Amino acid sequence: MRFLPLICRRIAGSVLVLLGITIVTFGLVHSLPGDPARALAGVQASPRAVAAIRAQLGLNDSLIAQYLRYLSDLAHGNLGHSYILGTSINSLIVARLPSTVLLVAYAAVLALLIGIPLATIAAVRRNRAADHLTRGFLVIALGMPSFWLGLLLVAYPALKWGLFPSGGSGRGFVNGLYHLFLPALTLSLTFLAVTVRSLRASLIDVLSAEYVWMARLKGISTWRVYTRHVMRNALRPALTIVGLNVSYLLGASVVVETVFAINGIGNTLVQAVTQRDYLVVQGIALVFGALVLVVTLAVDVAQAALDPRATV
Amino acid sequence: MSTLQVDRRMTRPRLRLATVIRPLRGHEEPLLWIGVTLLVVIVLIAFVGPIIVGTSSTAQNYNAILQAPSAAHPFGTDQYGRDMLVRTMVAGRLDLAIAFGLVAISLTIGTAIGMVAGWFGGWLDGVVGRVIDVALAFPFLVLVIAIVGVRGPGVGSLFVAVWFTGWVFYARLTRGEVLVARGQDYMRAAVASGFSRRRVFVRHLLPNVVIQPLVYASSDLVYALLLGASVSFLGLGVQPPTPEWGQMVFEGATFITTQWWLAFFPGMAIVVTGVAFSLIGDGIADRTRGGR
Amino acid sequence: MSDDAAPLVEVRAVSLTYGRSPRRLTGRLRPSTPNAPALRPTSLQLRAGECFGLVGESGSGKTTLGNCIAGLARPTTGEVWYRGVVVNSAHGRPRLTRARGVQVIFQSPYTSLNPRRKVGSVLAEILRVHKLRPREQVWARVLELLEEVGLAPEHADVRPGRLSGGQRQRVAIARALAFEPEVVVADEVVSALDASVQAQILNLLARLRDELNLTVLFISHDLAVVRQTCDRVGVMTRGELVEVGDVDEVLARPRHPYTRALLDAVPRLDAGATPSDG
Repeated sequence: MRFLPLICRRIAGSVLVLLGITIVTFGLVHSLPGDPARALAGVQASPRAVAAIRAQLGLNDSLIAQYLRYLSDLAHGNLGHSYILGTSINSLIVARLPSTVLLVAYAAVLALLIGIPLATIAAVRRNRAADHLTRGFLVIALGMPSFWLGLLLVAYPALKWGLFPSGGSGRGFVNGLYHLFLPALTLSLTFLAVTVRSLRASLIDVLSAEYVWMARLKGISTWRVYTRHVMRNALRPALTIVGLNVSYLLGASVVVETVFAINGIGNTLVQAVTQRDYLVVQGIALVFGALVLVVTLAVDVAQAALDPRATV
Repeated sequence: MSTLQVDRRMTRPRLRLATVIRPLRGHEEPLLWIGVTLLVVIVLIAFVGPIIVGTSSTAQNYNAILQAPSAAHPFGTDQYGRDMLVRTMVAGRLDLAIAFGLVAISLTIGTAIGMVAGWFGGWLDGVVGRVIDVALAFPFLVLVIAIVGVRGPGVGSLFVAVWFTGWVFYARLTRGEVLVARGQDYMRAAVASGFSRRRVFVRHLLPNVVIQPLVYASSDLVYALLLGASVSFLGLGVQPPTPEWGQMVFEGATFITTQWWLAFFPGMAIVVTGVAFSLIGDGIADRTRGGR
Repeated sequence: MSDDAAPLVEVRAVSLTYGRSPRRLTGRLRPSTPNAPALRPTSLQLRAGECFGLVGESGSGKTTLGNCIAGLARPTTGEVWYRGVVVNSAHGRPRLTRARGVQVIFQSPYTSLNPRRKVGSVLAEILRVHKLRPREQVWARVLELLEEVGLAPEHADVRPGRLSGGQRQRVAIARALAFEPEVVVADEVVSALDASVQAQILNLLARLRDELNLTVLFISHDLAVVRQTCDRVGVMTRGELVEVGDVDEVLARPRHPYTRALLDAVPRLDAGATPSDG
């Protein structure tokens, strides 16, 4: 495979970044003012519980030793224990991660499903009514806070008109899709706007390219020109956009989960922050970072595989 | 500080400051004109409006709680009887200040770090590059929430969080610009002129290198606004009773099906301000893309 | 042409090889080109008041040598002497001395001027930082410099973007002159200009050289121009200085095979257009 060295380099780089992520998350908890053991145990804990935690987490050791222990715990897949919720953080995340992943994937798919045709229409009918409407929509969409839109969607389509459930992630896949439709729609909005904007620009470029004119001159039907030539060349930028914005999507999902009361890791993060459950905050932050890393890597690999002119 | 990015390979001409900051002629760039006018109107409303309307934003009036919009209270009243119109206007001051403040911090720190890393290169550049990669690996909002969480909620924590993380995008941009400028003859001439390093940096390098970050900043305003509002909505930013749009939407959320105006108007204010920022950002980006 | 015993600028066994200093890999693999020297150990002397031409093809090392002399590049080995002082180092007194005494005019008028700075501001800055004039006289001197190079006072208030190639080169010359240097390294200064403008700039340089008694290191690939403007000439190829001597001598009776090859490749010098005297 031509691009094997590229992949190896990327993976090596990613490992470094992963290490950096662990340093950041480690530093988060250890930057707390005051006694970390007390902070982790919670305000209600008894002195004995605090001492027990201190011993258990080895908080008396040097910072380096603690970090190394943290790393080794991570290597064993152990994210720690929440003293406030009383469960292992692993089980917490395993239980809640699927909702988040489903939500984000759903939102991305929706955005592409709506965005690609919309961008195409806008590019083809450039500077006409459809294009202006689209661009107007884009400007509004980019300035729209997702929590407000989500709230309105909860209030009207869900609660008042009863078209959709107002919260939760449902049980099972199909039911999940039903429950997550409004949240995914909300989440997809900004991503949709960015996708349409970039895609429209690159489609306009492609449309004015010479080979498209040639194809039309040759008498190839307009439809075929679009599907064969235009779309294929414009889809690669779409993939790039997805890759660049995974990070944003994951971040925005936190807000959407909160509004729609979805029990994903984003919602859990916010609750953990409110309850001062620092180890959970640390664990979830780490998972988010790892997620972004994995998806970005996957997108890069996919792009390298798709690109006929693979750069090594 | 946004994490929403367009593939920069798609739009990348050489920039001149004159292209970006030239005077506005309304008929040539209608969208930018609208955006700037709208922003000016919003700023005026936020800062001068409450004075004109006269009603207090904090006066609680238990005889007039949860009233629907009316002539006396165009935006209605909240659960404490406070007039929503004035509250929304006053909140605007804070939201605007936060948006501009966050962008200003990120721009300043990011440009400085980017210049130093790009100019000196070597291990310093390597370290900065790694830090940038790591910072970018987290969703921005998650990082901000985590830092705010550790420090405790409040506007101060929000600013500290952005202080730590928001510079990354600007640093990357600036560094790229510096790498280009570094090889140009005029920079080598400046160095060979026996000028102090500080002079070379500030008076020769900076003017050339700061244009892209400035353009980016204009698009970033809308994200900064949404960031501040979102963090406050989650209860981690501006704390009650200080009025702020995101936080007001949160307070109004429980009443959304009945007293809809509590959450509606502050949210609408965000949208309108966001539109203004978007238009400005797009307008400036358009200038650099196709304009002369 | 004076015949001082001590040369004004002396280059002793200066060589430069890129990539010699340890550079950390910042995550990108470096291209695997072998580290060929850009400049082999070379020695040269510039006498006060002379115009020394440095010719060669692209990659011959002539620009590198010029850069070492002007302080734009740090030689890997060897020393550059100016007025009896070693000036290789990039810091402190030697650097300032050399900046004042040796200046450069670059080839491309489009990259040699800071696009964000106005012409007058650039010149004024030089005068102020190096304290060449008291504050009240700075602006007058700026206008004087512009006049010297044939530009109008209005040009002080514009940015390079508004100027033509020839005008920009004049600004570049003014910039170099602002330092009141003794030595000017002119690196292919007319190569990027139209033929007619070339003549004007060359005439300007010749006149300034006479008036100000400058020592010029004239780097060029154009033998005809060198023949016209220079007293002595050095021929370089592949990082080496292969022949040095009086310009007429070298061009009429070349001794090194490369010089001969170079001359053969050029259309007859006598037949070339001679710009009018100026």
